[in-house]
Amino acid sequence: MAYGYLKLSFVLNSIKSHMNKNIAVICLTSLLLLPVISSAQSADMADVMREDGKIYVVVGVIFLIFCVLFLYLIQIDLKLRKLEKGTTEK
Amino acid sequence: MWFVSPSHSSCFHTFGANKKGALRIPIPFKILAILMVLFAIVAGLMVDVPRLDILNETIRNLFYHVTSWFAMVFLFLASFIYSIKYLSIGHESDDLLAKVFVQVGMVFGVAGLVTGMLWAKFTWGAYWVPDPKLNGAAIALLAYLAYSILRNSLTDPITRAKVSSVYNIFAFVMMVIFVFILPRMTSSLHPGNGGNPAFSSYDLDNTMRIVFYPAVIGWILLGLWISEIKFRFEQYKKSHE
Repeated sequence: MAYGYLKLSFVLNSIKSHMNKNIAVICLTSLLLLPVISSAQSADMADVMREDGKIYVVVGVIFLIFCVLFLYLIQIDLKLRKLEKGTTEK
Repeated sequence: MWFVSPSHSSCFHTFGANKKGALRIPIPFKILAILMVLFAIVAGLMVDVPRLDILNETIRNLFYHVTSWFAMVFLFLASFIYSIKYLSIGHESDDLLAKVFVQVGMVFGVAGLVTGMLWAKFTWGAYWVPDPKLNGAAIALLAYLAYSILRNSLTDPITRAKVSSVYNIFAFVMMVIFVFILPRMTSSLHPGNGGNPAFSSYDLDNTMRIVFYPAVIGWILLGLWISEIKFRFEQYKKSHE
């Protein structure tokens, strides 16, 4: 950004003497927006979870709920196994 | 039923600690149940489905509503087999298994009924329509409810086991008649009824099959697993009385 500002002030000073102020303002704003526009077009973002009205987030939530339920089922199974083992040893 | 076969001891008509692990579903099947159900839930929401009028996205209910019924029918079939086995051999654990399968099957049946009502509201226009399959399913569930009531009304364990086993065979036959035979002989809103075979080429496309079959197997295995836990719990309780 610092490099951009340096460049901007240089451009501003050079065109001040030749052109009117309106053109200078347009150049300034366009130069300011340039890095923003270019980055928006090129950068890769994790957009999968934001696509289609974020429905994949809901799929993820359902998935997690069932994972928890299955873990609970496994825990019940193991607890029961422990109880059964205790009775045979007696 | 090769993977749910109870290992009997030599004692006739006995419960107890000597029947350790009478119903055991191998751990790989349990893992398979979890993976298949999770796959069915996620893939069922994500895969491309045919774009049909009225049904719209609710076609995905096939992966959830229909599999629930499949699990119920399978558990009732298992219960039917164990009731016959009890009457022919006489191990009381077979009768206990039949009872547990009915109880877990009822849970899936009620789930199927409730989800079907919600689906019907948004596709057929009402929570309950005079459809032979709906009424048949309700009658079948009531027949199995009567099984539980019959069990609880008898106090002598051997009489209870014998009478409820006989009734269970009758209930299964009633279920088959009311859910599978009668809706085919009349017209029904359900696909595959009123003379047409189910799952014809336009009912289920190949992408949906890839999700639907694992979903059916996964939910059946999960039903068996829950039945196993319930059965082991009942046996534990019996051995501590």
